[in-house]
Amino acid sequence: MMLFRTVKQALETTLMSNANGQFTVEGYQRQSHAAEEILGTLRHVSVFYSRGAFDKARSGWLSGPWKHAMTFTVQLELSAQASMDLSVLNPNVTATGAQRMAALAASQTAGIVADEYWDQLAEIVWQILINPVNQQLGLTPPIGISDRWIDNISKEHPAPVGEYVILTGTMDYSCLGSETTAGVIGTPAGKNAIDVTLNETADITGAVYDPAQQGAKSSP
Amino acid sequence: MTPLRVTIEGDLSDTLEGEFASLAMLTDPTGAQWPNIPCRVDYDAQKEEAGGTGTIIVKVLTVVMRISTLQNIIGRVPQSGENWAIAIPPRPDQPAILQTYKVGGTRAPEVQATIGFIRLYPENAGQS
Repeated sequence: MMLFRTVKQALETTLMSNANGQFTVEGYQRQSHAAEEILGTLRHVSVFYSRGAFDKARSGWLSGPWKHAMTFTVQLELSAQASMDLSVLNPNVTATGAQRMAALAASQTAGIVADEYWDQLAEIVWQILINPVNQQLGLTPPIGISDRWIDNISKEHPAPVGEYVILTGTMDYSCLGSETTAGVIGTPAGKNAIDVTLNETADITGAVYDPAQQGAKSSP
Repeated sequence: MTPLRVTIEGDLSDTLEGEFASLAMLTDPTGAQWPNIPCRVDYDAQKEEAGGTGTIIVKVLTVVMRISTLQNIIGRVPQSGENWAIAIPPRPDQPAILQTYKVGGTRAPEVQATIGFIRLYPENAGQS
């Protein structure tokens, strides 16, 4: 398996083992999911290999190793709901108008909550990935990476979709590694790769052949 | 002859406040509560949003109220930038249960003044 696939798994494992209930690590979802599934601390983090670069000056090396500058996109997505003091604003609750007014004034829209939650998530993920303890993502020699870095963080605008606000963004994680080739292993020939016996007794010139001397069988 | 828009506004008593109406309770920014406001709640709309790992489905709850009814009961309508709360049945088959949502949050109310109704987009709310 090429190193970038190993590194992708190591990134997922590192994030999962350090999540501590603050987010969930997910792979690609074949099916759409409800906003409630990524609400609050259920917010999703997922890792995709997005691009790689190889130095062509090394193309003359037939079997490598070749330096692979790989970049992974770490997706961060969440949904958020508004925040307010429901113990005052719910129906059939004894509260004064002044208390309700204060609760409404202090309420936060889902967009603000989503923005705050996303920033918090970006901080958590950044801290995990840049933590020196995770420099090698748990990989053990001879497998390893170097020069790991978070190149950039990108956040979309909070989308006021409906009951919830959706907010997504990405973080680019790059590192260097060495790729080698094992060569293409062909299919070994069987013992009798050629097993044809001709049964010619004569040809048009009149020459006579001994069928027992014809044909070919592969040698083991 | 009665202008068409006036006729349409009159018909809102059927389309918004008729037999399919729900009863909502509004809390205005001053903290005053206004129960039993007839409205139409659209429960079944949803929207798809592109997420990082796939499509995200979000319920779009819309409450439509007649402006003249709000003027009669409250004397005003929710405006953009204001904080209101609305309590509506979260399901149409359980009118006695009310759930509180925030109004005037990320998406502002839309006033259709020329026809006479206002659309509110309640946001699900958690305890602060």
